[in-house]
Formats: sequence, structure tokens, C-alpha cells
Amino acid sequence: MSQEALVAEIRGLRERLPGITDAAVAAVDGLLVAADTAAEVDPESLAALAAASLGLARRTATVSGRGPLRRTVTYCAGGYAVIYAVGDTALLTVLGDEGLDLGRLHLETGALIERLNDLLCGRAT
Amino acid sequence: MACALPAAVVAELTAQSRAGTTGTLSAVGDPGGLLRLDGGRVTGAESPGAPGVEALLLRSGRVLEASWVAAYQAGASHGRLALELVRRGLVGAAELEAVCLMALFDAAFAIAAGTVEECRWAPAAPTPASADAPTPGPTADWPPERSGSAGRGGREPWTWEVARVDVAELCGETERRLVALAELPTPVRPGRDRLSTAPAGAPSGSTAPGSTAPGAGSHGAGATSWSGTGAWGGSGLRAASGLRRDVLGLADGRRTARDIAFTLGRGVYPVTVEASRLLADGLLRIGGPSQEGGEVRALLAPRHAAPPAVPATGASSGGAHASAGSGPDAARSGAPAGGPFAGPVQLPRRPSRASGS
Repeated sequence: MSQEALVAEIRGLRERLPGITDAAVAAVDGLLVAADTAAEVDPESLAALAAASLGLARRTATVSGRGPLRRTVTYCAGGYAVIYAVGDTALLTVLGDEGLDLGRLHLETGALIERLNDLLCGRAT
Repeated sequence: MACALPAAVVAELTAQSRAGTTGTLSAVGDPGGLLRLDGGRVTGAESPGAPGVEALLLRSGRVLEASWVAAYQAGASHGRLALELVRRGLVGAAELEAVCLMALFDAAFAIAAGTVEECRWAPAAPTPASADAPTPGPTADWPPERSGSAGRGGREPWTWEVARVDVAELCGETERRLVALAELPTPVRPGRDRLSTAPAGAPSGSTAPGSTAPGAGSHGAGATSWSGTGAWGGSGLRAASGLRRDVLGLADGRRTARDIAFTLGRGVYPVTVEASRLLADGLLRIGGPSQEGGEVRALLAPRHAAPPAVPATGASSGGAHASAGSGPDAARSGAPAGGPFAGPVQLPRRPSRASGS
């Protein structure tokens, strides 16, 4: 039941915001939990790379003393790859094209991450 | 779908144009966007719903990424990116002007074809000489990330030196596009309707693997493959070529016309019109993916769904996080053992925060 809710959440994100092409939820060890990706994107690889990036970014944040990590954004010529931590054990990664409004994405994902965390920890109603 | 820019936007634009002001009109909505005015004339329009000049030039392959970056480095800090692009021979002056104008009208079309909830006018930031003047209201709550790194707010004002149109012309062009689209038998909503190829039974029915149109290139490789022979075989439709073929190759049930426009580096208006025609011809349909490739997948059970024995043991070392970390391993190897001793033996195998902080 909560698995369907998880899928509905990430699909809903793509439908709400123009410019999101793919999204996936993975554990911090890189194991894929749920994916909403186009056929060209391999969700397993995406999850593994996102986990690696998040780990690096967290360490970088700690070592550089800039406070807790908020998110990781990879800027590409044709869009963005954004990674958010979901609690301590999972992550949300979002791919978007050039039209994606990052400001709006960050606003939208705030509450979404809370809900994903609740779902993953089995706290959802 | 409305057949003109929303009245509030037109009213604000007209008022600011009469006053000859400089600033930014932001239309909040889906997809919403920005309209830039300089001295009462429109110098740029940007929207998440339409590819900007950069996307049009780069995604289409007209300008190479490396050349663009070099021109950007050389010109952007002095506001001379357009000059650099032309000086380096990357695009012709007239071509650049045409692309800038097209992007401007295209963004206005995207804003008008969606919904606008609110319309805010922000006067241009004060020049450095008068920088100590208080910032006017609307810019104060402007999220810095949005205007800075969002790729839209901060990166394209350089087009002001290339494209410049009157408000009346912008409204007229937008209306012309919306009316032309609405007159088609099956108009597609550019940012809403997700397009997929028509199901089996329609003329494009049996698809042959690997027959993706060459024009769709790399981005079409994994998408729904579309068989050329099928498409014009049954019903005497004209051979698909150019944009038509590209749109068919990219319609995978996930993409809207807007998404296809971004992928191709083409304007959202021509893509929307082509998609509407394909819909009328029965080659496209609106809605769900026609193949499993585009489906949403939930591949692993959520961590808390492990057998009851595991959370019980995890409780000794602190609740959800511990059981979440050891879930899959425990679930896999814990099942045969099953007994009351299974849990504690497995607990030390993976520290829950090993790859985190």
C-alpha cells in the first residue's frame, strides 16, 4: 500500500512541475526503491550514482564546515540533476531539462521529502 | 485553452508600455514566465514552458556546446554574448535575431496556453549609481535562487540587444498562434497532454524494433519505436518527415509537447501544432504510456516491509533507521534461519550510517 503511495508521490512531482523528466527514490547505499524514469535512463545506475554523490556532498559539507547539506545540484548544458537526502537512509533524485525552475523545485520538494520519509519509515497513515 | 494572453497580463503590459518603463513582468502560474520590458518595449520572454534561445541553439546542434561556452566566457560578463556569437561566426546576425524573436513569441505562447494566477510587475533593479535606493516590493520576495541559477531569470537578458518588439505586436502574435492552434480539430495543450503513439490496430500499429527515425537520433533510441511503413501504410497518410517524425519518435507517454520541444530544441508552438495534427491523423493519442518502458516502477519493497522478525531485533539498536539499514540483507538471509536467534547475529553486518554522514 505504501509502495503505491511512494510511486504516486514521485509521479505527482513530475506532473506538478514542468521540466522534470525523471525521478527516483533510492537508499543511501544506492539500492533503488522506486523509479519514474524514461526508457533512456537506467534507474539502477541513476540510484547508484546519486547515492555516491550524496555521500561525497555530505562529507564535503562536513569537512568544509558549511553546515548541514541541503541538496546537490549538477548543472549540465541540457538540464539539471538534483539530489535531496530523505532522512538518513534514503535519497530523492530528480532530473530536469533547461526549463526546470530550480527555485520552485526546492519549494515543492520540502514537504514531499517529509512525506517520503514517513512512507519509507512506515509512519504514513 | 484561452485564445489570447490573459487580460491581466495584457493590461499590465500595456500600462507599463505606455509609461515607457523598464522592468520585469512575472506571470505566476503553470507554466508561468517572465516578460522583460525595456523603455516600454518587450525585449525578452522566458518561460519554463518554452525552450529559450540557448536551448534552441544548443539542443538543435546549431551551435556546439564548446563554442557556446567560449563565447559566453568572452562576452557574457560585458553583456556582449550576442556580439560574440556573431563575431565568432557561430550564427549569423539575422539568424540570431530570428531565433531570439521566435523564442520570445514562443515563451509568450507557452505562458498564454497555460494558466496565469497572478501577475507581478517588478521595476528594473536600480543602477549601481543609485544602488542605495530601497528595493521595491515585488523584488524583495523574489527568491534569489530563481533569478540567479535557475537558468531562466539570470541567463538570457542578453537577448535585449537582439530582439525588441512592441507590446501590441507581442499580443497579436500570441493571439494568432493560439487561434491557429484552437482551429485545429484536436488541439493539444502544450504543457499538459502527455503524448504517446497510437495503440496497435491504428495505422501505426505493429512496430518494428530498431526502426526509430534517424532524425530522432540518440534521444529517440530507447523511446517508443515507431515503424515508418506502418504509419503511412494503411490510411494513405503522407510520409512522416522532419518534425513530424521527430515528434512521433519522442512521444513515449511521458512527454508533453513542451518536453518534446525541449528535447528537440524546437519551438513549443510548432511542436504543439505538429502534435495536434498527428493526433487528428490518429498517429498519436493523449494519455498513458503505450509501452512498459515509460511506466513508474517500484522495484524494491520499502525497507519496513521486511519480515516481522527483523524489525523486532532492530528495535534494540534504535528503531526505524537501524532496521531500514539492515532490511534487505536481513530479509534475504534471515528467512531460512527464521528462529529467535536470527536477528542479533545479523545486526552488525551493516552500520546504518555507513555511507551517510
